[in-house]
Amino acid sequence: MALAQVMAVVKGSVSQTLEESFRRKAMEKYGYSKGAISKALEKAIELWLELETDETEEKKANNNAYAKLKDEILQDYAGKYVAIAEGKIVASGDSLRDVWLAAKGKASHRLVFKVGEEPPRRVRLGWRVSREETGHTSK
Amino acid sequence: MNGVGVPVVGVSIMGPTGSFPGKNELPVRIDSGYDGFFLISEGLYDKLKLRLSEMPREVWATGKSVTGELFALRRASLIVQVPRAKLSLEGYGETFKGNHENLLGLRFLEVLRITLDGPNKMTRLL
Repeated sequence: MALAQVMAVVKGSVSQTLEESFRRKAMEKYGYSKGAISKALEKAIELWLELETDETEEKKANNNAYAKLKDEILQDYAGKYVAIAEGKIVASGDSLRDVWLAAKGKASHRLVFKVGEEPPRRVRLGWRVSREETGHTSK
Repeated sequence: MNGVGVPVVGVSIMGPTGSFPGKNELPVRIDSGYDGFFLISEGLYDKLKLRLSEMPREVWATGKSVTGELFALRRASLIVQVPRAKLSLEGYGETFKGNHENLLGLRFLEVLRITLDGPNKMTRLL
């Protein structure tokens, strides 16, 4: 016998623009029914948690450094690979392998990327993809 | 599956701390329904220590399955080697929580000439 899931209420405020877009999209996706907003909200929270659960201070610092240095990096390192660790640029080079080697042992987490190359933010995953429930796997 | 051959390419994947599967090849399915370069299983992503050398979160993506399910994708730069073609391609791997598939997508195919020889069950790299 399946157990009924206990539901909870989440309260908070968002901008009106965001609320309108969210409501519109939720209705488009889940239909003009009573549970559409809840379903969309649940999905949004799940996705956010997926991204946030393994965020360490080190990762946060490196990503903050990237956001801060982005313009400078674009200007000075276009077409090159760059590594950011401990909140600063620690290596750069023409090949990924060289940058991995140069940044080796600098920190436990680093960002490594090719400057100016931004793969699409929305990806079609195809027919084969589904989620295998494996529990919490973040490190 | 069901006695039907699937197109695969034998690759070796290189991450920041080493490559997998060493000197052998990992047969990876080609999937033209997948837009990206390399969808990598979560287990392999971890094995290659890609979590320690990822791309900035700003350039991570959202993936959508054919059923409309959304997945938060994390990304890392990697090198895919195709030993039989003596090729080494710099690209990126992406995964999501619970992913168990390895797939080569359209971005990977952009740089290769491949013919599928159905009767002989062969994927030929030109």
